[in-house]
Amino acid sequence: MTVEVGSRAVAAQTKPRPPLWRKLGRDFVLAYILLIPLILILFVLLAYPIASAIWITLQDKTIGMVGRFIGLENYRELLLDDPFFWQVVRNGFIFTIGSVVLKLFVGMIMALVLNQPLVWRGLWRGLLLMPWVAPTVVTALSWRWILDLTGVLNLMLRDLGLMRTPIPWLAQYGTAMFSLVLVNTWHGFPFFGITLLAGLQAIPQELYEAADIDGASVWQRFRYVTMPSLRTVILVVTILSTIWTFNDFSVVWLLTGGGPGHATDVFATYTYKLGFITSRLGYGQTVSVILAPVLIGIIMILSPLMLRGEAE
Amino acid sequence: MRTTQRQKILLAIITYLTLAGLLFGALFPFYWIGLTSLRKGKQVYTKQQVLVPRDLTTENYRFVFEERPTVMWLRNSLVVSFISSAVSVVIGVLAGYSIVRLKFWGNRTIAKGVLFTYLIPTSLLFIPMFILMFSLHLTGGLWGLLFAYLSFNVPFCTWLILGYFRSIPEELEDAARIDGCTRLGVLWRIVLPLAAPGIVTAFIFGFTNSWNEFLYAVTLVSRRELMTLPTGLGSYILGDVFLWGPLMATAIITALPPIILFIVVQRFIVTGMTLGSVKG
Repeated sequence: MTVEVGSRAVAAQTKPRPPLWRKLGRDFVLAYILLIPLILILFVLLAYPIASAIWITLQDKTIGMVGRFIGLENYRELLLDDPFFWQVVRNGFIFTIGSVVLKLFVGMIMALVLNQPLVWRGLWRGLLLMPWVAPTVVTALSWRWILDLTGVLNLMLRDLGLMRTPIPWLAQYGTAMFSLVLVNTWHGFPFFGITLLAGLQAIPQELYEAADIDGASVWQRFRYVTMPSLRTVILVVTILSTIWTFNDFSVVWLLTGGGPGHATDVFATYTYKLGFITSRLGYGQTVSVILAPVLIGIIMILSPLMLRGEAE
Repeated sequence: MRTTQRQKILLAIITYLTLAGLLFGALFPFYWIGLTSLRKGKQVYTKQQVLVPRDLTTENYRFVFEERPTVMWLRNSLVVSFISSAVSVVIGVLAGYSIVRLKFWGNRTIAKGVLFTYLIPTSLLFIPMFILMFSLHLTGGLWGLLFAYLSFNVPFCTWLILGYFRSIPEELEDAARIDGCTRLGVLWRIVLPLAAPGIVTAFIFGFTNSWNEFLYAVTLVSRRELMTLPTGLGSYILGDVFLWGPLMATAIITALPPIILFIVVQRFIVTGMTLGSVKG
């Protein structure tokens, strides 16, 4: 405060600052010197690739070859002639919605349990975070082994007398997508749990006491006190997780490779296949770019929520 | 109807049962991969008493260390993760301080830009990133991977550090400036020590982000000896033969560093997770 007053007093004695200087701000020069590395990275490693991402979709570029400009041909082919694109879109939505809903559900249970007065609560919290701490690749490969035809899940189900013939969980149409949703949920629920727990702990205790005095049951306390207080937190984690899940590559690629057929191909794996297996980089990138508006829409909803927290 | 004694006991029972269920679900896979990594060859496929640890051996670990380039992969992972995260933290500290404390035109725009780029997923950019690195002749070594990791770690670390800087009271800095400290002096002497937990958290998150990264690693590195652990692991499965024992041993080696880091600094991390994603 004192500094402000002092500098203002000095400014009043000398001649007034030129308007341009005032518009650029007091610390303009120092600020941009400190920001040079960040801005450089944002431009070279993000803005440029984003621009070139769009440019590539207008070319017939393949690996090692110079692309030729072909206008919107890639988009036409993808939307009208591609035999799998619409299936990939559908898979992407099923995978994302299924996983996010399940993660929210299990994460909420985790948060509610950890919010109770437990012995060794810190230990349980740490242990429940483990699935999220383990690298995704490790998660995917471990579950590939668990769900294998000779894997432990089939053995356990057999030993419990629940089934006779082992089920190829990842290799048949009926169960492949379901298995992927399960694995993604296992990996991601702790993130929901821990964030929702922080939200729960921020709810003032008085609200619960008041509800108690009004004679609210356990369910009513959850419904009318907990849920409304958690609204923003739920919204932010759900949207964040939607972005990550929608763009997941490793879980799908390492568990099913998009198969059987294209039954579990999501857009990251399909982009990869088109770009690096059939080597059509321009056409593959078109899959990503065509779905980018959905993503940008989601980010537009999310960023004001996250920036609002920042401004406070 | 107040919560009675009976209801409380019932609630406690339900809570502990649910906790047990969650713990089993979360930890069983770890038990299982650990067990597989300690079993040898045919025994991996035993049909009898699969869950009981018996006749364990460290043969798989010897195999992956001596007959597979695991040490190289470990080294590559460490180098790329450490450097990309350290560089990102330095850039993040400079940029974060500037955005939070300095007054200049474009302040809000840059904060928004950081958030926006943090949210852009790698699956959208891996093809242009590959073309960029390929044309710069960086796909032959680890440099391409290092630069690619900066593209997500820099916005991420900046965003996290920004949040921590905001939580430091501005009055402390004003006091130091009255005592004759320069802007950078304040950053070095007042802000950095106070934000140390946040900076450590950002570093660890950046490190694990790079450590776990798979898509760029698959597309930007093709030579076997330049792979990082995740792609090395992946290379076991994309062949026709599944050597589950060695594969699970490598999985354990890959998972250990993040888990150890996490245990050491759990307290920082849990606050960091909630700060970075949900502010307010």
